[in-house]
Amino acid sequence: MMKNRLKVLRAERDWSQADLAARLDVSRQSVNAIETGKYDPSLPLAFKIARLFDAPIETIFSDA
Amino acid sequence: MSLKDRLVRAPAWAYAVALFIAGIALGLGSDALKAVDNPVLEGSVTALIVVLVLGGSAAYWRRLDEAAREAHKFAWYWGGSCGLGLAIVAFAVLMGPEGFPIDAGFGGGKEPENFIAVGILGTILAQIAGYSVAWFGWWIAKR
Repeated sequence: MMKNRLKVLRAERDWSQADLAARLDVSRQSVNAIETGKYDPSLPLAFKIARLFDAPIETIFSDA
Repeated sequence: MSLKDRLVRAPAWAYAVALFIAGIALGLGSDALKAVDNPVLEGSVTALIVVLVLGGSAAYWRRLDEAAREAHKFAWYWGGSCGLGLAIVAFAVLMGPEGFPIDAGFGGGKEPENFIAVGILGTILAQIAGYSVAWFGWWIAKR
């Protein structure tokens, strides 16, 4: 499983999990699973997340 | 709001409920149509409902996000397989030297098809139970 900074990035924008889910067109449960590191998103969804936060993908996700 | 808009905006669970009801209607409907004794009508109505159920299933699948699809794939493989395995073991254990321990099959009939129906129904129920446990387990594990 990868680590990610999704929760931090979301908190910086004062978005709820539901807000982020709506922006990504996924369910809130999926956002929660990704944030807790229990579900790794697909590459298309990871790129979508990177575009939404306007950050390189490797600054959001890491395998270490 | 048009019917198409309503369908497009309907949540995935609404599709699941509608499909469940349609599936039951398919079973009950095809059985009721046997009384009409018109194979063409029976076949046509059954085919129409099957097409609607398949189309609804495709629409439901498209509405799911990738995590929800993963949960279903996990449940289909592990839950369905384990349910099938348990059903096989259960039937093997129940099937003693004097045969299956019931004296009537599905619907109270004693023809081979009635007993085959018991096997099919029992297997499907075991698979649904396994699927449900695996599906809930997947989401609980990802919380």
